[in-house]
Amino acid sequence: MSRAEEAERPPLVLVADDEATTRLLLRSALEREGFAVVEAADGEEALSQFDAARPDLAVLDVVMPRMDGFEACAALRGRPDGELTPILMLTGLDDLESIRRAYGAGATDFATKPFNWVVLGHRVRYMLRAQSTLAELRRSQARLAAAQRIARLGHWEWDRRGDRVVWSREAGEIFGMAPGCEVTLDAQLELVHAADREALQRCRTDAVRRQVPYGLDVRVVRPDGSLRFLHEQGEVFAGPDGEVLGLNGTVQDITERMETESRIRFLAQHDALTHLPNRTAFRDWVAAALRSRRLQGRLAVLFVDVDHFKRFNDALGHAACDQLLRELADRLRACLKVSASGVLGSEDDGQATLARAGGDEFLVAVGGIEEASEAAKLSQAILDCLREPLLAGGRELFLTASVGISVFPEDGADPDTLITKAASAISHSGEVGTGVYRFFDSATHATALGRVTLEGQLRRALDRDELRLHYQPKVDARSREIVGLEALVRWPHPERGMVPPLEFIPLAEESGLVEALGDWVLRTACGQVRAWRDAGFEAPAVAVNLSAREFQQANLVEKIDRALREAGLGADAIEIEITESVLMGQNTRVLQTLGALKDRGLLIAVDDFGTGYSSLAYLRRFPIDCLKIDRAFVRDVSANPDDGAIVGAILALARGLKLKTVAEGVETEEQADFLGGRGCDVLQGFLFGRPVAAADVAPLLAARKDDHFDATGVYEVTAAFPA
Amino acid sequence: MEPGAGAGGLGRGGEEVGRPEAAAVDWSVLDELLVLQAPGAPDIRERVIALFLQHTPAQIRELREGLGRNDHPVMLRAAHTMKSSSANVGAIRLAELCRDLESRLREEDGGDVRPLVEAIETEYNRVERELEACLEGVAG
Repeated sequence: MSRAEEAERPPLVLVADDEATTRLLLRSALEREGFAVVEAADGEEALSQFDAARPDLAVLDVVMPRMDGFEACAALRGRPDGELTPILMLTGLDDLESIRRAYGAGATDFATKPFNWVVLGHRVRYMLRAQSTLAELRRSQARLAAAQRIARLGHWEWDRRGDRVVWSREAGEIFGMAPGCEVTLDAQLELVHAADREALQRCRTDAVRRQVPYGLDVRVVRPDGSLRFLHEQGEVFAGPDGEVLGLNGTVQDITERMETESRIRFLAQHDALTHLPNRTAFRDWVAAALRSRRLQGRLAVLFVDVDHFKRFNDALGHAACDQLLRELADRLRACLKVSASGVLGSEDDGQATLARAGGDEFLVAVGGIEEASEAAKLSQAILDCLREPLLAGGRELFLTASVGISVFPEDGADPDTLITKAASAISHSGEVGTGVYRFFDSATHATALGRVTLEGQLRRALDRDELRLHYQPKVDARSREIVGLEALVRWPHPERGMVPPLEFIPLAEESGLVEALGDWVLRTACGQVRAWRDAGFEAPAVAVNLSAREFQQANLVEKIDRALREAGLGADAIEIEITESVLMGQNTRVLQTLGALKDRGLLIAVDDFGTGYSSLAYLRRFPIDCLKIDRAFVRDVSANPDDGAIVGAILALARGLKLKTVAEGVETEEQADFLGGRGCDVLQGFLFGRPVAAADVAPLLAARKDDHFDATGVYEVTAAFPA
Repeated sequence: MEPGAGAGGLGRGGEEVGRPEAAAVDWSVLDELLVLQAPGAPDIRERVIALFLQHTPAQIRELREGLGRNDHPVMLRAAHTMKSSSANVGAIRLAELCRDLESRLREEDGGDVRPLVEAIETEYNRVERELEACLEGVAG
């Protein structure tokens, strides 16, 4: 029956009494009031009638055969829809026992005999009205609960006096609390995300204090560990005298909305196809990087354009083309991850970003570079990563790209300028060609290209053993006898002749070759000393220069040990020369390394002393044996007696600290006499010999030794011992 | 059946004392039932009376048999039922007797209930005669 039909039919009353005349009179009284009636003569019949006819109200006599009224009443109450059906029990006038028992059985009301039949009819009407009000209330509650559930909205009420909170079931579910649990407001606060607790607490306290409603978004961690976003609103309710009695609040789960918003934000900043940042996000990134104080050096913008993309577009069709672009994006992403850290020399990939500008165009920005050549290397890495074919539409496709490069600050200081210039660098690809990179500024391009080329050549030279060690003699200041040799790297370039060390050493440091170079120097020098001694010379110690970078290596001491061991030499064979900057850096590790080297008996000299960050304190902290006075001070000696004062001071300082001294760049006898006179121990410079190849050292050693010696028998060590 | 129709026109409960022929039925009770009369339907008073006359002999039998077996619960149920029905038809005296029997039966030591049962039987016969006479009067 529909609700409307149900509303139309007259209320149905079940009358249960074993006595016939009473049944008749009850029926008449009820029918008079417009009710429909079904009868039962005992408790059991009453139950089956109830199940069959579904009456709106039941009138039960207490005394009945088979099952009495109490049992029947209790049984009715047990029925699912019998919970709420009004039940009127008919008891004797003075039968208090029955009245009590009827209550216990769940009766709604009782009437005592003898009845006023008309009044009884009215009474039933009153009972039905109360019931329908109750039913309406329950329906209203159910609707409210459903609405809350649909909206994922719950409500709660906090009673200030007892500090008790009543949570609606939906509110409990939203917080992930067990149903029916009594949770104080403070305990509930524990469910809120730690970072949001204080704000929420403040809102609630403020609301109570100032009687101002609040609304706040907070995060909550559910028992299953999931994070949800909630919106809580609350307002105070007060007593008649204005005293705050508590808070009324709602809480709504807005996680879906937040997720949608965040997804919208993501889409606004990212390319939908590749999920790379879009052009707008790229611009923002670059602008922020340019503003950032963390940016040191230069920033380069790379404009990557796929060559002849239109051909692929036409040939492949839409879906395959999309797939191709996605594959390309992934390839670029991976390439950048590897290459950027290689170029920047650090794990920090926050310095580089990749974006899709649209179509077949991608943008890369990389900050913190020192030389434009680093951007060139990165561009080349990108071009190289496309050598392997990409898979799309079931086919293997070979792509090439062109990369245009612009550099901050030279080419511009804002993102748009940099992007435009990077793009225009390759806009005339007819002239430029495909599969290449090009800087916006041609001079920059030439320089960068030159550097990159030279670096490649240096690498090859190192691999092919084309580098050479030359040796410059160091003589005793008084006897003028050779007491040491300094090893210096030389690079005979096929086209340029000798490349100045000032040019290729920094290049080596930048490109990470300095480690391999250092290894080569050590092994070559050791090997050479071995060769000289095998030939019978008393070869003095060869001093090798170690860079600050090499001191950062964890295995430096190991390397030196191994080089000496493989050449069968003791620590007297080589000396270590370091610059002041090494000592200025990370003190503990340097101290430990130097200590380890000293323990092995190696001598340590500070090169170019007086030109760097001179701190006299370190002279005592670090285990140093010798100071090499920079040539600048030596040069001034002969010209000006005052300048000689500095050298004199250094010599006195060294003497006081029991350090040996070596003067570099001695070119005149005057300088030599001055220095010797002031107590300098060793002299080095053109006056005593330029750096020469190993073959040319042998005669010097021979002469020194006073041996009859045939210099032609000595070979020069060029190849290092097998590592 | 006219209101007030009854032997001697006595509407209120019969006076027993000194009037052995007092009315067994208080017709005002039946007349009050007229308020429940649905228009066009059979006379409600007749219907109540008919039901009463139809079912009560069985109750009397139960009483008798219960008395013979000394079965108090059976007698209690019969007395209780008759109490209601006789009150409904205005047989006040009969109702009172049933009530007395009820309380006697509930008492542990109610004593001999035979006289009460016999009184009930006798009173019922009187009520029966009166009611039947009234009904016949109508029929006739």
